[in-house]
Amino acid sequence: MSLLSIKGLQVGFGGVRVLHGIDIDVAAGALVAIVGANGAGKTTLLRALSRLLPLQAGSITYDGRDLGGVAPHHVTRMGLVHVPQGRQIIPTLSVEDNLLIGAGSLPGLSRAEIDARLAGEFERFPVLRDRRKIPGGSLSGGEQQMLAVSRALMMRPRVLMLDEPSLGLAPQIITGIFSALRALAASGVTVLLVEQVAFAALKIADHGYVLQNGRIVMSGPPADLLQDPALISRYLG
Amino acid sequence: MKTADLVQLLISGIAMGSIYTLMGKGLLITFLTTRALNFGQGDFLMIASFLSMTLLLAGTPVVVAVVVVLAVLVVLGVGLERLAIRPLANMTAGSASSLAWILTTMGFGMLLQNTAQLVWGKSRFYSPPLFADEQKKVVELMGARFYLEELIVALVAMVVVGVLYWFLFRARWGKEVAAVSFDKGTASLLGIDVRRVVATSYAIMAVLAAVSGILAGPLTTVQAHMGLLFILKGFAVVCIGGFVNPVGILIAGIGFGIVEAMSNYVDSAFGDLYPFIIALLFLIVRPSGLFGEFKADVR
Amino acid sequence: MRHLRYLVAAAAIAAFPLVSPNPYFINLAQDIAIAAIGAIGLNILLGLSGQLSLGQAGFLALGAYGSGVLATNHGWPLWATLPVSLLLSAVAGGVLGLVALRTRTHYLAMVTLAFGYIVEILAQRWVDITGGSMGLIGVPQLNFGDFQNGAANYFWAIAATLLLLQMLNDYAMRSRFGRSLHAIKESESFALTVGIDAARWRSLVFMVSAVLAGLSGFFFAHQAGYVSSDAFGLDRSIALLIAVVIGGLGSAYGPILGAIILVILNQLTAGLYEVSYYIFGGILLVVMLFFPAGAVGAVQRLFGRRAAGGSGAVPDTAGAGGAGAGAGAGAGADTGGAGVPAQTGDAGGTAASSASEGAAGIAFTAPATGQGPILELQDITKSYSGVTAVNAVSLKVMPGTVHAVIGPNGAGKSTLINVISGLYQPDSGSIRFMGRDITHLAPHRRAALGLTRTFQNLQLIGTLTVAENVMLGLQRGSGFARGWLRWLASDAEERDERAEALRLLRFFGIERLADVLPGDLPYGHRKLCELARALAQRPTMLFLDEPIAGLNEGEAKEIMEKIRGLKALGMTVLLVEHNMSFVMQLSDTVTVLDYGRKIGEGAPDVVQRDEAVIAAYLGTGEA
Repeated sequence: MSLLSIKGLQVGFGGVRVLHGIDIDVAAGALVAIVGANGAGKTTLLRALSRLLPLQAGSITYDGRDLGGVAPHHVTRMGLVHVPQGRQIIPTLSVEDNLLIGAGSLPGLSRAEIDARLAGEFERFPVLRDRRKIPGGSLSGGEQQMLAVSRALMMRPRVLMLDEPSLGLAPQIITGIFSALRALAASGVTVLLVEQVAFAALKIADHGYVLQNGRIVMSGPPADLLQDPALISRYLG
Repeated sequence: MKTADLVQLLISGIAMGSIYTLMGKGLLITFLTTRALNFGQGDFLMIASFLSMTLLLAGTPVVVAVVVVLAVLVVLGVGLERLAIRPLANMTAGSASSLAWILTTMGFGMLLQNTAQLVWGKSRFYSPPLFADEQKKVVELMGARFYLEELIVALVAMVVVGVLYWFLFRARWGKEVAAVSFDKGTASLLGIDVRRVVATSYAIMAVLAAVSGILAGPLTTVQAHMGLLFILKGFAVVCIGGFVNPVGILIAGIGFGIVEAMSNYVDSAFGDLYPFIIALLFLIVRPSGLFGEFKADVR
Repeated sequence: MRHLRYLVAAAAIAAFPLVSPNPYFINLAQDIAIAAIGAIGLNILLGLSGQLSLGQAGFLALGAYGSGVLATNHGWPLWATLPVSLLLSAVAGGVLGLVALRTRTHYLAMVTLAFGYIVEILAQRWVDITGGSMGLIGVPQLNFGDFQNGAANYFWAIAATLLLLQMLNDYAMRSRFGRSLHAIKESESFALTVGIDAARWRSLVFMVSAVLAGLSGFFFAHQAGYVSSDAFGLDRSIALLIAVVIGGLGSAYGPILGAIILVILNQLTAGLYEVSYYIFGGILLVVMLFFPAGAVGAVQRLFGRRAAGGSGAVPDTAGAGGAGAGAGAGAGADTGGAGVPAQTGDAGGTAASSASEGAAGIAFTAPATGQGPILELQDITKSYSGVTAVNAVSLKVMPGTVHAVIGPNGAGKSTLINVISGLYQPDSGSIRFMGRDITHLAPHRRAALGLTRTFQNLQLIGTLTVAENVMLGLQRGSGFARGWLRWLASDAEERDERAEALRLLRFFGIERLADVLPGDLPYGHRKLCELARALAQRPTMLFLDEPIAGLNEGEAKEIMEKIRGLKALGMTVLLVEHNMSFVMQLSDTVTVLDYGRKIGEGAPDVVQRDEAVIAAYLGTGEA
């Protein structure tokens, strides 16, 4: 039974159709990678899932619930948390405030529980503890990515969706982020990883999809995809 | 000029200046969340002044009067957002769409002005003092003499500024405003109810206008069209202070008030124009204000 | 017959005072004309150039007092005081216009608000000169020595002036001036790339609107023999604004329509003075929320017509039957394109016909072959916000080739694009175009040299039709005065421009869409429109920013064919694209960027097999 089920999704804006009928199934606890080149529609897909974009056709079912008419902030509160492309750290808020702001929207969390979660994130990424009072805008790209992931994790998501976390980061940092995601999936969080760097993303995934020009063109176990020569031509023509 | 007069002028200037600061902060708050200002904020102030005056003259206790005025203005503020701001976001680009909010908020303000005209008439009124028992009660302290009312107005305004500062930088709501100001989509992704934050910011703007009106009434005369001057000065203050920093607005506001008081003393015929001219020159030279960041208008 | 409407208007003006039942109506007509003059100015300012002034009453006052004071207190004759009025307003408008350069939108609105307030206060208090609110009395009226028919004569003077201004206004709106202003209003960075010096235009327009307000003030001052400072308050500025908005912002006849509505409203509510603010405030709210296109828009909706550019409710006579005009112009032009069909085909625009249509007069400056690179970048570096977006990138675009720049997200392509087009200044390095150093050249000058770009997010001007958008690219033509005189005689200039635009549209197979608004077109056709506009600029090198983003396969193929066609004619093309199959099929050379550096360059098949390039896109697989 998949936790997140997308059927026949069609999304467009500004008179342009970007997604032409997407079918994706994400099982609970899995790490699913969706890879594709620029312009394939990856960001549009995640924004549609978060309900920031209207659906022109198709459906999104999360935990048995249809997300069609749900407002974006409710989608987040339901546990489907989206880490946007480019991190989108609030530059004027401190690292600590950035971490707290997501969790703060969740109703019914005690101060103690929030503090416990905060401590947990500082464990996961100690550099954030070192820089906790520093404005988010002053962090490096890698630090901001860690902060963005932690910020999302503060909300204890059931499904964590990430849009190109590797963007603009040096290879070693990417390695670190990806290991953290692998560990996360192992601990039971469902991860939907949307990426351009296909090789690295597929390597840590349980299942892979390749998106091209708004359509799923390849789907299957990562090992199969990685060995398929068609993968490269999907990117480079 | 004797020192005693100087001190009195300073206090006067600080009192009015702190009111301009409150106006400036009101403009800032809505700008942060919606990139729009209430061009009728001066008229909000005017309604508050009239209401407060009427209630006080009728013998209502000050606390009750304040609560009533705040309540009425919050309704107006939230109503303004609902009526004059939110519908514009959904409209397709027309000829004046990016400036439409200027016209709608101005229109709303005009409705308020006409209402005041009908209810209270067009004459100038004197509002009873809030803190002193008589209008011109003078206090002597260490050889300097000043009006008690003005002093307490300045203090109260400072307290409100402090409370606002706390709201913006310590309270959760302030963090949400920062998130919404940065990017509405991202704020939604963080579970923030953007609509609620926006509505609250307009309510806060209304509260600031209400406090300004309550405090300003006794210091000046109350009249249906008094709002124009206050919006102009409030805007000058927020421009000089920079559209980002509340501390800058505070400095700019107090500065404006003091310059105004001095100018009126020096030139009673045209002194009230000096601070405007100075503000205009300042803005030509440094459009980003004291602390603001001027973002290039690249579309 | 051209200009028929002006002759009719002139006749109506001449007849009106003779048939009017009593002087009251003549006075009303004077009021309307006076308001319309001011409204025309504000309409151009707000509706065309997008600058909001809340202080027009200030310029009105300057015009009124400038003349009134000199005439009343110093006995100057009116033919001498008129230039003073206009000069005063022009100077004030020029100064404020300079301020407008540095402030925008709501800042400008507030500055003008303050300006209006200051002028009103000065008028009120400088009682010695202005008479304050008690008024300047005994202001000479303009009655040409004929007291009996004074009101009629005055009306004729004002109305004749109005008619002249309306004609100038109509010309401005239908010509490249109006189009340029539309462009500036919607997207200044785009306007720069078509060679429009936005800053100069904006201050000029500001000054024009000030002078028109001053002229309005002049007529106002000498109307009743009396001027009070009460007339120049904020409500006067608001009233003018309402007239413009309610008439139809940006349309040619909005101002006169709005002036009529305003004056009639004033008359109707004269007894309702107590609720005048309700009325005006209510109008502002209702119009902005429900009728943003004003009365003109409502009329157009009623009759199902499109609001095309600045032409307002009346369609351009030259626009009647696009195909016919196109054929006529096509036959008469120096094309020698025998195979050019008079009727436009469908958007299929087959490859076969594009070759002959290509010969049919698509003019551009083809460079002499055998020279060095058309465009040469050397060690371009650009950082901002602490990130080095472009790092020592060098590349050469050779003449007559298609050169693509590719790279994964965040590779620095957008920054590079903006550096090449001049919107960003590089931190170091140089750019040479046709051998000339353009590193520090302003964007609008680069366009003039032949470096033309398109935009990823399609900067088509929504308020102009497809043909008008293309004509924006043409940006040639005489100065205003000469242009207007020519326009009076014939619309040959505009017709020629339109013919050229239609030829360009025909090359892309979308000639039949000439009079449609971009917003009503599917995305693929909008892209073609933007390409046509780029071509209108007679480029030496076409610089395309993601030309097929958002297109389906068929549309992308079509664009590819067109670009091939252009290349066959000798055009040089530099493009940035994500779509690899498109790039690889079309390009002669491909440059690959990653993390701001160049990591590969060469023929497509070489680049496709380059390990560094594969790693950049798909990663190295180490995680």
